[in-house]
Amino acid sequence: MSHDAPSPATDAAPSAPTAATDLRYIRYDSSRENEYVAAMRQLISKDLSEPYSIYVYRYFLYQWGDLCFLAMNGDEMVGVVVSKLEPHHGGPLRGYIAMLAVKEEYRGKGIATRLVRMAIDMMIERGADEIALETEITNTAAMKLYERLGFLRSKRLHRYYLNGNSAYRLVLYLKEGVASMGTLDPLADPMAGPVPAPAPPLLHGNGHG
Amino acid sequence: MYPSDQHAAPTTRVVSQSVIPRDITDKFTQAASKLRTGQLVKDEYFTLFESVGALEIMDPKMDSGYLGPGENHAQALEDDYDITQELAPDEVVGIMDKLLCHEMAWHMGHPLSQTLFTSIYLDKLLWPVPNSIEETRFDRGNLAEEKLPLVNLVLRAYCLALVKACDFVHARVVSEHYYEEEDFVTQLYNRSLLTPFDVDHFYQLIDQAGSWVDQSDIDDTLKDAIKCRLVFRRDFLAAVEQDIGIMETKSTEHFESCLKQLPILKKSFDLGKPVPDAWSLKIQRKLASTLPPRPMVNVSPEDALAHLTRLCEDAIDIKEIVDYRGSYNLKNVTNVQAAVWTLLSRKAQPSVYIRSLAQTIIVNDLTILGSVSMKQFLYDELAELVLPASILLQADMDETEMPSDPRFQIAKRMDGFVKRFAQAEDLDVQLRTLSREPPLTMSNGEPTFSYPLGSWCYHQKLIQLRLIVQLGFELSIYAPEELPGMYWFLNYLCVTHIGHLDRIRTFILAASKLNLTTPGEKKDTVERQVAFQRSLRHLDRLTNHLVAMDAFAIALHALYVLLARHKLLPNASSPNAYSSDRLRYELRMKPFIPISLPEMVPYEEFRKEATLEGDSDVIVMDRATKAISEARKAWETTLSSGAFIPSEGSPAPAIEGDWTRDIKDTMRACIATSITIETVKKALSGARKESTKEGPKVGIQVEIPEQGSKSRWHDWWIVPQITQKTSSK
Amino acid sequence: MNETEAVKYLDSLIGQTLRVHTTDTRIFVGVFKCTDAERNIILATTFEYRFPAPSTVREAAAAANEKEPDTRTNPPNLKLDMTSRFIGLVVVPGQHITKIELEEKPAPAHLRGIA
Repeated sequence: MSHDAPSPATDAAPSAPTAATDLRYIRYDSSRENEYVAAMRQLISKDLSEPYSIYVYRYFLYQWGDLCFLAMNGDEMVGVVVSKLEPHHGGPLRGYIAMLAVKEEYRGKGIATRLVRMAIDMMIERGADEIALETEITNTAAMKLYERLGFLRSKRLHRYYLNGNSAYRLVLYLKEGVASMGTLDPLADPMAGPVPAPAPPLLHGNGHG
Repeated sequence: MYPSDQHAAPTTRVVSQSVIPRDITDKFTQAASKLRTGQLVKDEYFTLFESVGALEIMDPKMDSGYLGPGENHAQALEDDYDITQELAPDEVVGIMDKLLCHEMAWHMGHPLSQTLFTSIYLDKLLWPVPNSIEETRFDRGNLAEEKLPLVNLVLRAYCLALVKACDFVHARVVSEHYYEEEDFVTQLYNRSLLTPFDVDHFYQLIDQAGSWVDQSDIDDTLKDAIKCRLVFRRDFLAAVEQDIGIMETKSTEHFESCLKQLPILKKSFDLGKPVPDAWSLKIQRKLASTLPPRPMVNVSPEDALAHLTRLCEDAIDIKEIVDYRGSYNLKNVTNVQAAVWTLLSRKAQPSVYIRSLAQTIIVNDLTILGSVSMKQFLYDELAELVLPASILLQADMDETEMPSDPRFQIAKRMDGFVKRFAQAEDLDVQLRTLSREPPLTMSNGEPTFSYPLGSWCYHQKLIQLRLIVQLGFELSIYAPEELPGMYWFLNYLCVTHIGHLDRIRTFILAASKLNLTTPGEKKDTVERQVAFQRSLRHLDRLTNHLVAMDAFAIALHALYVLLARHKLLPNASSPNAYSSDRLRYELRMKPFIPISLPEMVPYEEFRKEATLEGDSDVIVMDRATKAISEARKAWETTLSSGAFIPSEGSPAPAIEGDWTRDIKDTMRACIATSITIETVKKALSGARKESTKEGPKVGIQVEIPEQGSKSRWHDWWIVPQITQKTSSK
Repeated sequence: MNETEAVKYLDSLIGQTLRVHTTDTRIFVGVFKCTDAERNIILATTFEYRFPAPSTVREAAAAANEKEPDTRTNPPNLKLDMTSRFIGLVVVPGQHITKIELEEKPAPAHLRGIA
């Protein structure tokens, strides 16, 4: 899915109107669904080309609300990360970072990195074997962010997004032996046959575990 | 995130006459209001995961039927454009050219809904679906052709021939099993591309239109412009209609005549006058689609023409693959692989239509290139590489029906191999008792057999593994810090492959020796000897190419090791990353783990090899220098031995030209690597003299050139770019 | 109606065909899959119906009169007059819904699963 959070390589230069010290990082709270989801939708739909209906948020938040973190400046939501964690094709426990967004005027402060680290830390606490995500090839800031955290590009997904842009799948292994864990994926052996085109974003690699 | 739109959508909803709608608004609303925040009432078999694919109505980003503020509801589907109005000749040219741009945009991978199906003229021809060719009129039969012939005859003929050409292209692509859905959208939105109507109608209409234009009093320059567009349309329609005909006719005349029209067409682009009102996105509101609305795609006339030119050229060059067996009778997998790989690696990549056409021509009805059966093709390949003059390939089940006859047993097993490529090694064990293959005694004293089928499979497998690694370089998959390890891995695969070819060679040499010492007909012995020699030459060619790749990989590996050691290689990951080298290695090797051979290298061994642990800088530098000089020689040899066997008088000059360019680019990368090695050598030795407290000061900076940049000499061979550090701090 | 009754009622509609009218006068006809407190309705295998432009209506009426004048006596079926297309799986947000209709076949109640 989409990541438009990116803090540039140098996480310095306070250019935003608000000092970073006012920021609070909190976990999503389902009792405030109406308020939070509305703010998240606004934040995420602002820059991203992929449109998401209300049910996309529900899909992630109802099952993995504890893997969603928010950056708040007072009452204003300025950053969000949405993730999930489930067995991948019946194999390794795979975390997936679905969406990442930071308000434009708050970028360059390391908010995105902080949010992603919170999500990863929580996934590790819950026993994740690996973490995956997709990001647009042109989004170099997001790629840098994830690669700094240790993600590797594993695949190039040709014309992955609705806007026709290609993506990289980025993967981070958290434990040894993940690569050899059995999956029910018949395509695990690259010699097994021609690999079909990847499914559209989100659906890909995040199927019914 | 939307469900695949490839499946045919239901065309109409069947509604029983007796259905009675009952208003439940109040009760539904009241019930819903009783639900808690976040509480759902849903079909138990319907998952939230599925709900993710739902389009949200009234959201302009998702709802293609949404009307923006100020849009008139009464005009939701209708445009003000008057389809019956007269058009000036320059407007007709403008519309024709815009249609061509949209047609090429579709070829390039954009959906019809964002390209051709934005044309009001096409919409009127195609919807409602016409029942006869006579119904395919802009005005749907209200006006006769005599009225406004420029529109109702000329533009109509152009439009119809265009749609019919799209129909052939569409059919070609969907008839093939493998094409990238992202590269070509086959969705027709419940419209027909005039499939049922015979192509002759279309030629007739184009001819009628042509005659009318000839006799018309249109200004000469515009007349020529319109004429040339009609001629192109006719040629292009004929070209795609008869595209696989080249297997029979060997003629690419239609694509060639298309090419002839294109410069004329280009020159008259400026004559066309745009008619922007003849296009509308509102048509998307009428198309059956489970996708969100998308903007109109605008491909420039230059880009469209460039794409079309390439398409015609590629289609013509495909003939070289067909000619392969024609003039040379070279039913050789290696040659066909080389030809197809080279053609399809052209930049920009050949269009999906061309790729589909190539597939159809290569294999159609289990026949290769329209003449050789799949089995014969494979047999020729096996004979060339692993089984020269072997009884295994001579056995024919049709000739012997005695199950006790070993030849029958051999034929049966070979048949199984050809059909499934499975259990090659088990079959080898069974076959060698039937063919009474004598074992060879290896240096360790163990008897060994040739395992020809298994050997061939392993050879193919090693090619695929190497290509996976090389495509990783091409697609910029590897982080800079991975480059030493990946070039080491490439080196490892090449060495394994060279060793495997050596093993095959050993058995062929032994068989050849046996042939000479076994008493028999002299003629047969000589014939067999020729076959053995041919295989040995083939093996030498393959080996040399691998040696060239191997030496280059060794050189780049050593060079990157040095850069990494001196902290000159950029790092994508930060020191406080979540990952470790070991985990990253495991992730990178994941595709190769399920493959039993070659065995996966354990991490510790990989680490030692990839970092050249224990070798001093001087040794590593020496390794790089020697390897790159060996690589340069080996690539020279590769170049001189040509793309195909035999190398003289290639039947595929255009494809061979591409191949040669590729090898020359590789050689340029070799030279650049030589220079880089020298530069790094100097910088490192200079640094030793100028050591500071923090360690040696190396006055250079390293960048990994991006794909497509000038210093990226070849996609597969990444030469680090060295710049002198500006002495600042 | 308490929560239990509300859930029971909505549950009884699951799998049935609904006609959901929206503020912009379109009608969405599809199989009811899911809803929530805001009345966001998910419909599967949905067709979108839209009132045709007045000019089309006039043309169609004229054509119908010419061909089969007798049919004027029968009120035209709404479905036949509207343009429709398949759009698949959709969410109709509650705030845009003006009317919800249930398509009922005049079959015995027990066959419809409604007690």
